[in-house]
Amino acid sequence: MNLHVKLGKLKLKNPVTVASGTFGYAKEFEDLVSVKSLGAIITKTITVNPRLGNPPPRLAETASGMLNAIGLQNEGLDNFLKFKYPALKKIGTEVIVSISAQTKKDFIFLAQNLESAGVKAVEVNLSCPNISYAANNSKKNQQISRAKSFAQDAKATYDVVSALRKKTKLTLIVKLTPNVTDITEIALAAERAGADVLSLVNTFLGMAIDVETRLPKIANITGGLSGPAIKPLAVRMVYDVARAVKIPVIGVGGIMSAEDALEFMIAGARAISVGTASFVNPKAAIEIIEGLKLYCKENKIKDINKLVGKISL
Amino acid sequence: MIYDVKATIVSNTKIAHDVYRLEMDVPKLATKLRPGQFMHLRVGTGIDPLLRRPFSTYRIIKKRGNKRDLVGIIYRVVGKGTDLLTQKCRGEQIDVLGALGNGFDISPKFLKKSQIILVGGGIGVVPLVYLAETLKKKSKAEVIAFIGAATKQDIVCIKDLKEHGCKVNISTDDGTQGYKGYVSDMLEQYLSDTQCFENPYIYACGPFPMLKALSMLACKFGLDGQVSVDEMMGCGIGACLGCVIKTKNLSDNTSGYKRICKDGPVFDINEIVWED
Repeated sequence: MNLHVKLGKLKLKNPVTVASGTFGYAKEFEDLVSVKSLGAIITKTITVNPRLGNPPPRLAETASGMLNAIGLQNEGLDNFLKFKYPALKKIGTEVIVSISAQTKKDFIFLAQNLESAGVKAVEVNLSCPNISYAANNSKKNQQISRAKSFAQDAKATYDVVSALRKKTKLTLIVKLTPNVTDITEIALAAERAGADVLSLVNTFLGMAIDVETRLPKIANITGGLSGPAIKPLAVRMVYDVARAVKIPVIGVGGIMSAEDALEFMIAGARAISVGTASFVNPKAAIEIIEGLKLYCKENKIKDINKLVGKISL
Repeated sequence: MIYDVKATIVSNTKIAHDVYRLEMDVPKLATKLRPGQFMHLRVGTGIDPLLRRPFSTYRIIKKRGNKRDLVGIIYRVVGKGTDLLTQKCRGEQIDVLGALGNGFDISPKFLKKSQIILVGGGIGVVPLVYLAETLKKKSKAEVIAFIGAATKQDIVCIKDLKEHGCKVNISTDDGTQGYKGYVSDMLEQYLSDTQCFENPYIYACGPFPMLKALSMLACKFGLDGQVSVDEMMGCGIGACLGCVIKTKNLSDNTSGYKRICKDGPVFDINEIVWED
């Protein structure tokens, strides 16, 4: 049985990855999980300089979901390369480094430095809902500054991805936001710009209020909704995007079980990411790998790639 | 080492208004949990409530012979998660992650103090019980507990603290038991009225306003100590950065966010930057 899938130049031993921001830099899970069994690890997003992140409270639980507004807290590129990457490199599975920046120049700086350090793939996080991009955009660039993130604007997405494409040979995985009218428009822009892979979806912008205090439950007021609550929305978007583009898609959004993962793959995802589920069950991703194997065996599927997009209509 | 194990519930008993004591047989953890460390419990079985809930260690119940020691927690029913937990019965299984967090630092330099003060607010008294038990075994210090709650029926674990050799002072916000007012005010009065050769050392756990008031007191009286903070958590193992608190680096005065679940839940009393 073949579980290998190709994402750009990466060959994953199985289609199960862990979503950025939900698995730290893998070290946090090493006591609990055979990390090397994962198809790939997508790291917590890094930025050029360290970021403090948002003030607490940063989390709120909602019905079958969770709101978060971490604000990309991280120690910056140099500390990542010095303290996190050496251990990640030794794990024995593919490492995809999630990167975020407020300018094309910084995106390129991150990609080039990671490439020289031996990284093979980056996830370009154009879609964090919890940081403001507007402040750092110049007045000339009104189109971008109105949008909250690059991935809310097809032209801005195209600009960043094509700039990166010109400067790096890294496998470029572009992470898209669901907080748009038509996600396929953004997906096509990323594909035209030279993205190798698309990853969708990031969290849905949401809000929760404590009725006793009338305060928002998270200090940032709004946050990104993840967890099983968003799964049907994410499956629909993966379905739409996978039919619109030719490049592979990583499906992410509320996957808790192998059945959830299979839904995404049948909808068109070549690989999937497990996110919030790892908080509830640290072994969720590993159990999903086992579940996929079992499904393939029971359904006499010799190559899991044969399942991708095979929805019966 | 963090373990992800299935615990078997041995008992789950109501011990006060909205307060329960749960004892469980947790392979591996009984020998690992130190005072101030916590466990992350999956209280439901489905997806709502979704996240685990953190509970601090109340005590390790020693068993004779080849029976495994049990782990106890005490919890107050505050919402959907803890409400579900009350319905767990003897024999049922529950997913437990532990032992988590740093726990109280009880290295010899603290144990040598002549007086140790424990300050607990509401259900925050729970980890202090396990701490008091350990102090009794390891330290010759006089241990005085200042325990506060909103009202008499919310005061728990007093008997435990006394059994572990603590002198206990109680306060309630409404004056239904002990000193009327906040526990921090009661402690301030004590500190002002008492002459000591050496400053007492503080261990505390309770809600943010109480801990904030305590750190003010620590500043005023030049005291050292440790506080354990309670916050909603995502992963519980330091990956999600959801449960952070602002701290200052005492050596260079820079500030940043530390993870309550991994870098805490116990922090230096003078380290936290209290914000409104």
